[in-house]
Amino acid sequence: MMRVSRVIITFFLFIIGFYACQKDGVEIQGWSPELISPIINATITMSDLIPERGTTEYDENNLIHLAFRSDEIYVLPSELLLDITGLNLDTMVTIEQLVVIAQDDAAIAPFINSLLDFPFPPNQEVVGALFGYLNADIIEPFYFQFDEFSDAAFNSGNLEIEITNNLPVIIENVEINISPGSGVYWDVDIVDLSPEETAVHIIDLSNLNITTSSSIELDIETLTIENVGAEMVELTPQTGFEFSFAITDVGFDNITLPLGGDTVDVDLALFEDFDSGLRLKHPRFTINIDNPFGLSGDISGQLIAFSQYGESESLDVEVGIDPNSTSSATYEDEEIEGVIELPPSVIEYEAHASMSFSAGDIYGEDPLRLGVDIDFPLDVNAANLSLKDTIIFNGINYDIAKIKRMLLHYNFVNKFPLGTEFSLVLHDSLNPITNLDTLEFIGSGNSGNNIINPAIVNESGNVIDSVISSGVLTMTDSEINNLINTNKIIIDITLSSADSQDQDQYVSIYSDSECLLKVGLETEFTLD
Amino acid sequence: MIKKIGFILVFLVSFHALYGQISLESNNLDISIKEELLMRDTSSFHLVQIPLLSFDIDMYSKPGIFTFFETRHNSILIDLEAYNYHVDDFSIHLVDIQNSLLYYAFENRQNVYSFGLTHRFFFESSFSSELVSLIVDGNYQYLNQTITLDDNNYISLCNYFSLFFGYTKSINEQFLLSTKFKLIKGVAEIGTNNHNFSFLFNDNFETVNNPFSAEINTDIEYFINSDYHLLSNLGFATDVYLDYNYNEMLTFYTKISDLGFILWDENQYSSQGYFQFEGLDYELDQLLSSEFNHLQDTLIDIFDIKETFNVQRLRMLPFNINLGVKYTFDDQLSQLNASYAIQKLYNSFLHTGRFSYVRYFDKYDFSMIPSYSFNKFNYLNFSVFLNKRWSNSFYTNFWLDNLLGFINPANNRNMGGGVDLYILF
Repeated sequence: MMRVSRVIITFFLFIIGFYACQKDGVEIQGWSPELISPIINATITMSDLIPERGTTEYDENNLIHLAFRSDEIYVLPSELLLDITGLNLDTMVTIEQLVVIAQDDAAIAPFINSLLDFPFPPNQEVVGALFGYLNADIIEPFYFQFDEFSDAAFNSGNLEIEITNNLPVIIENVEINISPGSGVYWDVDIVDLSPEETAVHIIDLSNLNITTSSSIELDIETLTIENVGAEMVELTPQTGFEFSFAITDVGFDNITLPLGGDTVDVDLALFEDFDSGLRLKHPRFTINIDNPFGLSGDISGQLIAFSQYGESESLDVEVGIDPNSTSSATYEDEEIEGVIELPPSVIEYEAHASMSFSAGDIYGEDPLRLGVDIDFPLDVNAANLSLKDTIIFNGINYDIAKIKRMLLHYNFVNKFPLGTEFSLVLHDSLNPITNLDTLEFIGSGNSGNNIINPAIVNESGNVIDSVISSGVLTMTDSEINNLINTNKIIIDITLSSADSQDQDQYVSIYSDSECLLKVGLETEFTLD
Repeated sequence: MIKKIGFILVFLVSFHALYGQISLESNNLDISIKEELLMRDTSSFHLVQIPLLSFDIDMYSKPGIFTFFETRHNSILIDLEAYNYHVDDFSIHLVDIQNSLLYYAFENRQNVYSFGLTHRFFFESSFSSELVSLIVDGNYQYLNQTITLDDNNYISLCNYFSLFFGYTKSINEQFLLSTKFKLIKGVAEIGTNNHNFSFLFNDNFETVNNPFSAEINTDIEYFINSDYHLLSNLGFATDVYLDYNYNEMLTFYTKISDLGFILWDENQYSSQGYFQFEGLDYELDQLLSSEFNHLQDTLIDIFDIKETFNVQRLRMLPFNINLGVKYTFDDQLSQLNASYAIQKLYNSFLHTGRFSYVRYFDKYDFSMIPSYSFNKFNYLNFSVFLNKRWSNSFYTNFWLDNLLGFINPANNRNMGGGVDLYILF
């Protein structure tokens, strides 16, 4: 009997010990608190969205401007003007060149080729009868190109023409017709010009007008070279004629200098945020000229602005040039509204200068400078402005399955003077091509659209009171998952004048304009 | 299985409140303490309690533990929603375990001297319904309401050993006095104390403020003993039992247990702060993570925990006072007892009334004592006490508290019971 009782006791002690040592898990159930909490009061200022950099500037009142000033968009150096007043052109017509031309004449080409080696060696002796075949008929007109100007009205100056005989024989007679264009012709006759001798001929340029020409034509009408018969003469590749033109003591009643065309190097990044149709209250575009010379005249041309979509608008500009002074021309308001409305992403120019000066008017080393001064204050009327900023967010490591519901309540205090669309774009930097999600803050009183009414402004376009828009974002499971897993939140704000109180009202965009996004969380999650 | 182990434990422990008013002697219904038993038994001079097998447990829980607690597939399930549902004004959980590790008494010239070592674990927690609901259901329900947590929210735990010397003497034929002087060694102490903790969460829709705002006001303290050396956390307590036989049928008695204190060496932590939170202020040129860290630092500053180390703090023990009267019938086989007990809690008292009926079966040297008691936890507490003497020297006492709790576990707000084994020789 005792043995049975011991067995029973031992058995029960074993059972008790076994279960007592068995590890039990503790599980909580029925724990699903509903929590509310303020989360964040985010202040978004215009300076966050339009930072002051490049051509974006804030003035003393924090009004945002696209402002650009450059004194040297184009530089006209004194050297260029001096090149015009002291134009000096040299050229050489060699026997070798004439022989090349003569190859086209089947009547004489075989004979010429039989008398000399072609192409020319450094040195060769040929029979003097060769020069009997070289006459004006085989010499085509020459053009002496100059790029410094195209139109000019001379009031003084001389054109000095020098012809140097580099032939081993005498040039017995040469008649040259010179034309700088526009029906102006000068005849130059030279007789018995010995080897190595130079003939000089001076032409008075007073009252000469040249239009749309940038070259001098030289036509040798008659050429007679001494015939030395069978006498051998030495030829080199340099043997020929040398022509030289020099302008001295020149004065212009008017000369047109092409200033060319190029892109105005202005950072227009601010306008990238605007859609077309932008209207500014008082935009201003000024061209400044700093003229250190004694010349006068004007610069005229065209500014051509292109939108990022290739649309273009142009602005004709003309600025007077006064001697030894600065001058400017300002284009504003309606004059440039077409350019503003694009809005421009690139501005190009095409210009020329019409000036009156003489050689004595060009002095010093400072160039004539052409600059621009752009000031586009953001007093806007019709505008659609798309702005973005980024918040780095580390995400939240939480099991979404435990979140039963999540609502984000918000009060959006809009102090922006334009209707505001506000969205948070959830982004994963590891997958930058696609956005995870977009949370749009649509106010409960916004009748279906997501444009939050602009702040109330006074007649001057300045904000006098904020507008509150409240609502709630009921997050889907997908949105919750994306929100807690995002590592970059892009604030996407579109400002629009579409919902303005007064369509003719201009509003000023200040860097310290702000909107406040105040978010509170309502959630229910399980802690089982 | 856990439930079964608990059931077995309940059988293995004793309930000291009941213990104080029933007869320990099967054939003498006037004997209520072991020392008196030794005094009346002229053939025995020594009494030894079986070491480590005599202890009692007393557990109160409001709401009843089985309303929110269950075991399933070797897992303990705590249903907080059910817990919250069953909390009326505040919840309270009390566990009082007393172990008699050693006990020896001897009689000398009608005086009984006793020595022994006991251990006590006393745990008490109380949470207001607001706090429970706040934790379980969250703060959404309290939107625009101030939640004030009063001093009904606390946790208290103490764990100590008592080395005692007892002296029992019949003053005359009517009075019996039994005292114990206890040297207390505190082992562990943990407690929280809430003075004024309040929350207010507001909604601010369609305003310039954050949709929600919060105000938090704290004034709480937490303490834990800091010294575990043998001679630290010492205290002193006394037990007093006074018995007055008015006549052969009527007896008045009082029993005071663990009336004393421990001088704890403790570390104290307190936090007082006021914080109004309307969302993290953030500007786009700031780093969001830095701002969250800054907020965290701000919170730490506001609710800065003041630490005070190695403070000596005298704290009262959870003493118990029992007053009762016994009426013995003429047949000397039956007795009626009525008692009133006060149990000191952390910041209040638990009042318990009890009526018992003792029935002695002399043929079996066996007594059965059913009793009824009531307190704020349980108005229908029926208990039973079983006393058996074996071979004139070995005594076994078993008792079980709140029998109805086993019938209707869902409403079981208290459990208790115990065992006491000793030998006279």
